[in-house]
Amino acid sequence: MEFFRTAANPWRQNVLLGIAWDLMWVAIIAGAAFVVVHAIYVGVVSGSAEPDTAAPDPGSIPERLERHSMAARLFHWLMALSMFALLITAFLPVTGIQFAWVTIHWIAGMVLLLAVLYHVFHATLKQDFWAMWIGRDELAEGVQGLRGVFRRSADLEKRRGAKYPLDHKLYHHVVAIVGIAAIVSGVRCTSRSGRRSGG
Amino acid sequence: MADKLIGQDIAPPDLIAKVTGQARYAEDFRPEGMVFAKLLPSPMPHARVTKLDASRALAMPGVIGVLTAEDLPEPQAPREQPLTNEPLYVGEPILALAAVDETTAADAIEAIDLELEPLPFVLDPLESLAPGGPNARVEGNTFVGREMATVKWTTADFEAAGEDELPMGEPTAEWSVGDLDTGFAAADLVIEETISHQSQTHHPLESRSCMAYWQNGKLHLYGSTQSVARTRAALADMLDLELEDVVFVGEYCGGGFGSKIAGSPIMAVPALLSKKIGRPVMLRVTRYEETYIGRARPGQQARVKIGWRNDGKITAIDLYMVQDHGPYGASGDHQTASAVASLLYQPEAMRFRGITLFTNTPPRSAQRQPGGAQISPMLEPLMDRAARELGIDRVEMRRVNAPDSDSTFGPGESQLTTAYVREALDLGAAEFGWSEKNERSGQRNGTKVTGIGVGLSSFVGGAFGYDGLLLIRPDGNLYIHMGVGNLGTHSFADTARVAADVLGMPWDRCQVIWGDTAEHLPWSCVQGGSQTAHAHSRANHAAATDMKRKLQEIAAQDLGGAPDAYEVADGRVFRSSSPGTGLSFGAAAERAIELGGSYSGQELPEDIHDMTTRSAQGLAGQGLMGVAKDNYARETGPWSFAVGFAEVELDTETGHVEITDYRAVADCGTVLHPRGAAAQAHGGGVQGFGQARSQKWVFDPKWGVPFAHRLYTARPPGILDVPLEMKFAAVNLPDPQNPVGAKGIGEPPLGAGAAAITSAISDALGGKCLCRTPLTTDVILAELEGRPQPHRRLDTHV
Amino acid sequence: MAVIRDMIPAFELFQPATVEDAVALLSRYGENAWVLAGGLDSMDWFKDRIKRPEAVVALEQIEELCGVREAAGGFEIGALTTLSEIAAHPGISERFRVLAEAAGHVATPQIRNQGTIGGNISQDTRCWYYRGGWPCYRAGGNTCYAGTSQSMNREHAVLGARRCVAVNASDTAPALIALDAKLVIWNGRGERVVDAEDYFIGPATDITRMTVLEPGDLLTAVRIPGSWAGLRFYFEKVRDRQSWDFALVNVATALNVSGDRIEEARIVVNGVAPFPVRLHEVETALRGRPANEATASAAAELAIEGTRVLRHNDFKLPLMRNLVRRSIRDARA
Repeated sequence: MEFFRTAANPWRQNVLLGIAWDLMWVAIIAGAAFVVVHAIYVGVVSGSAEPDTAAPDPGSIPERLERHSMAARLFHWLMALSMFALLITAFLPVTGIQFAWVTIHWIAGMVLLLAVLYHVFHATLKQDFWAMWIGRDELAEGVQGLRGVFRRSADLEKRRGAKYPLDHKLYHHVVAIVGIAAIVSGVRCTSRSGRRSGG
Repeated sequence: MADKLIGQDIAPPDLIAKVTGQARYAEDFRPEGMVFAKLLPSPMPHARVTKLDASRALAMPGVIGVLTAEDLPEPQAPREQPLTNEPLYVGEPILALAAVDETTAADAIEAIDLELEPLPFVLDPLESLAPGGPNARVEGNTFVGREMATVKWTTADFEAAGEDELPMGEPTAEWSVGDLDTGFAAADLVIEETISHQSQTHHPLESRSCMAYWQNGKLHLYGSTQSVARTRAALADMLDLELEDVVFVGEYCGGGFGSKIAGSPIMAVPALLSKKIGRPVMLRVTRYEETYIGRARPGQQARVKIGWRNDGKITAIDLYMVQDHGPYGASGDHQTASAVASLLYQPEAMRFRGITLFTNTPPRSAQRQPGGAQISPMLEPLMDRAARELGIDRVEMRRVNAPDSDSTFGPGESQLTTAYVREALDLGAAEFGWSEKNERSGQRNGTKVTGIGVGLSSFVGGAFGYDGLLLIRPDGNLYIHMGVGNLGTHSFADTARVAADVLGMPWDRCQVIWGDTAEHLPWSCVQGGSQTAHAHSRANHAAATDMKRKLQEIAAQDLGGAPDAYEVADGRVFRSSSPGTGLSFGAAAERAIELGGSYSGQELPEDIHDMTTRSAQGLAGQGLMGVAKDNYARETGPWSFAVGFAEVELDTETGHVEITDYRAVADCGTVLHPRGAAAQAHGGGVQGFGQARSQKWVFDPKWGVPFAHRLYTARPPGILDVPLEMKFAAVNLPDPQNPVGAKGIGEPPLGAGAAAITSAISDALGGKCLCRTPLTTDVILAELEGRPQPHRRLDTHV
Repeated sequence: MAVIRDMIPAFELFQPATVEDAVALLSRYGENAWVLAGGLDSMDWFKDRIKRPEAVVALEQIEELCGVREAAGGFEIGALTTLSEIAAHPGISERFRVLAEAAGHVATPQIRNQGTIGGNISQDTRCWYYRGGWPCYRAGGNTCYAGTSQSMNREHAVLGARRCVAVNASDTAPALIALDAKLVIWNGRGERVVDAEDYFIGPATDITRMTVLEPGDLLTAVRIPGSWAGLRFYFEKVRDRQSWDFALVNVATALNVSGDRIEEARIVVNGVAPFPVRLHEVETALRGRPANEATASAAAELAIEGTRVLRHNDFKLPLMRNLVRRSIRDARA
């Protein structure tokens, strides 16, 4: 299996074209396998386990708790929408489903770029930047969490050291890297095709 | 005495072999044990080799060996090497590999591990002149004197020019004659234009294939060349060999047009590879490779300002030329162009400024009428425009300015032998029917409009001081040894007839020996620059005169009386007063062998070239020898002229141009061979049509890679692009500096053909000069439709 | 890898004598097979060492693919019939002149003697970036080198470009579409017949192919129906030089004129898009109009609607417009 697609450029230097399409199948299979394994895990293995949390006092919780503002939710979905649009307009043409994808793709790309820029500034200046930092405590928590998964020992005390759990932070950072990579590669392509119509 | 052979149509001695396919060209030879070589071309326009590993290729079955730049004699920078570790253009050979056959060799080339580090490159000379612009070479972007240097112009230079006008910064070449300001002040009309002339590949049909082997310490090389003796010398020089250690064979040549004047640097590859591997090596150069290593005409971006008086007389020309010279050497095309302009138009004052730049495009060299072929199609449409504005007939405009035999021209106010330009214009105008045809100028017929054009051009018409070598053997036949090449011009045989005429020898008893240096050939001029007709009619005349004197002396010795009492004709030397008393040439040859000394070549003149001496020594004692250096008068340079008249039909809906009539008239002194001269006029004309109309030279500007490297993408003209019938006439007035009156005629017909077409197209467009070549369909249609031109005025390599 | 051109690499050569055998070979080798007809497109690819098929199936021995036969009021032309034969065929010259003229305008006499009708309509594009082996979209890469503002693209597309701006270079293709020809294709599953117009695909359908032919397919015949026999035709090809050159733009037009009204028209232009462009809207607009200069001019303006030029090919708009105009104006029986 190949991981990258390369080709000789006009000067016969080997250049990277992109990730190999084979990897798409790897991702799909891995995703499907995860769903199956997780379902089995939830249904068979931990289905019998008793929840270990004590019921909280109902009176102390308001009817509806506002965890995210409307603005934050709109922002979240805007970003999600742009990412989905990018994914759809990137992969469908490759698989042979042809439509006018270029305009949608670059608009979605610009939206994502602006959203990310906003998010970076907002998170850095207005929010608790360090809330996303992975410190020593989080790592310890992560190790403990993993132990919990493998030993299934419900007796271990859950530690809640920070605002977000480690897996959420890791997931965020992975998505951030992928998103930024998508933006950088997209902007590079745009500047290249921009010269095309520049006259 | 028989009629003179000079002036008759006589088929060249190689004709049957050529048309029957018996002729053996360089790639037709197959010595025993021969292997084939293939070249590894650079994919980048400028790079440095960082890794070159042939081990995988050498391990392949059938692969014999490789040659790299490391195997070459120590380079004398900046001389071009046949293989390089710093390629300066796409296609420049990096390595050569020999294998048992070409398919194996090609497969092995692909197995070579090549890594290159790209270096900055430049295609457009103006980009290299711009502040901070790239240089084509690490050492600089031009020559200043004999040294490579970097010349950049200032931002102010570029801004001063304005949009689409040639900037004119500091030049590296400059000359002026007369006072320019006075000249322009006296002008009633001044026109100033920026004009582009593209570069273009030579495209000989035979590529520069070559085969070499070594035998008993001598190099035997079979190649395609324009000039045999001079190629032998060039090979000896290139490979550091003694002249007698090089045996060169080049009996036939499928065209050179200036790209094979003294062979080609690539000839060193089979020579050195053969030496390295100990087997004969054949390098068949492919069409791609030919367009890379096969030379090209330098392109020019020019700005010209011309002033005319009301009577059409040109008062002043101010010419600036930026020249693209590829990565090696320094071409003088722009200088020659300026001299030709000065000669053709005889301005009262003229200034030339120019600079020639390195670019990362294939190497340039002389191409048929170098400089002259560019300047005529550039300037002739401007002459037309001035004639229109001044209300003067266009042929009359040329007559008014034309040089005559007393004219001077160029930076040194050079003189020339003869110039019968007005005679050529008058003859052409009469035969073409200029006044009637010119009535049709601009006439519409459906979607077509008629254009009538006239183009004048000129070039050097000969060289001096070479050697003639003749032998009459006891068989009574005359053997005329010719060291020039057989470029296809027939001059190797046409000039031999000068010797036959001096000796009164029938042509069927003459044999021309050419093409193989083992056959004892004399030192010769390069077969290029229209030099041969003049140089070797003189040399053969000198040798034949020497031979005639020897015949007379032998006859006088044997039969009594004074040598002057004898004359020669029909293979005999006989007493003028009693023609029955005489000797046959065969008998005279036997007597010469007996007498020895200078008669049979045992004693030789002191002033002949070393190569002629050795050749004569090789023939000594075999008959009666005539050998001499051309010591005839050489007061000034001969220049030849050609004028082309064209009628075109331009389709206003498609931009297509059909040439419906073409006539060329030449001033080439006495015509040696009418059919040969016409072939030169027509062939040069057709090449000019291609230059003016269709021939492309295209590079991708981002990657520096060429695209017009196939004949179908380069588009030299085809048979359907020329008129059904092309006509030729010559003024046929002798040049006094040549014993038979001849001047060369290889070059000027090209510029005349190209200029007649740019002039006719401009005429069909109502006098509009598009000021670039080639005038392809898209360029013409954009003008007709009032749409943006596909290229800006100064765009190059498009 | 070091690159070398102008030398054909080794391949396995098959010379089947029947269509059945040829189709079997094509099925066996699938994507690794190459169909060789006259070889004028193929040999360039092979010499450049860019296309390297494992097996080359040469059709030259298959007699049933050669020749012109009368069929159903028109002709059935074997895919291997040479362009010379078509250009000189009396029946085609008399009744379907537009095809004879188109075939007669291809390249040179030598190429027409060797080149076939099947090969001429199935030829690959001549985009010099793509033919130069550059890794463009059409070659499976991720860019188009010809479409940038610096590119040398005077010979590229003004219509139908999707990522790829190459053009179809065939001269006979527009003539066949104008004549409403049908193309017979065989493969391991049997025969199918497609309209000439549908034979050519653009990059939007498949950027790596010019025609509907897929691995395993073999074009066997071209059927010219009798419906357009003897009507008014026009063919013109504009090129930089008059032999051995591809069209900058060419046009093939068939007009059915009754009285002085155009009843039906088929107008096809090539050299302007990755496929021959049939001008449906122009054809519709012509219906019922008088066959004269005014109609031709109006139609010509309509022809270039929706075009989009690149840096160097603006001239193709007036050229296409003028050719369409003159094809309607000057079409003759």
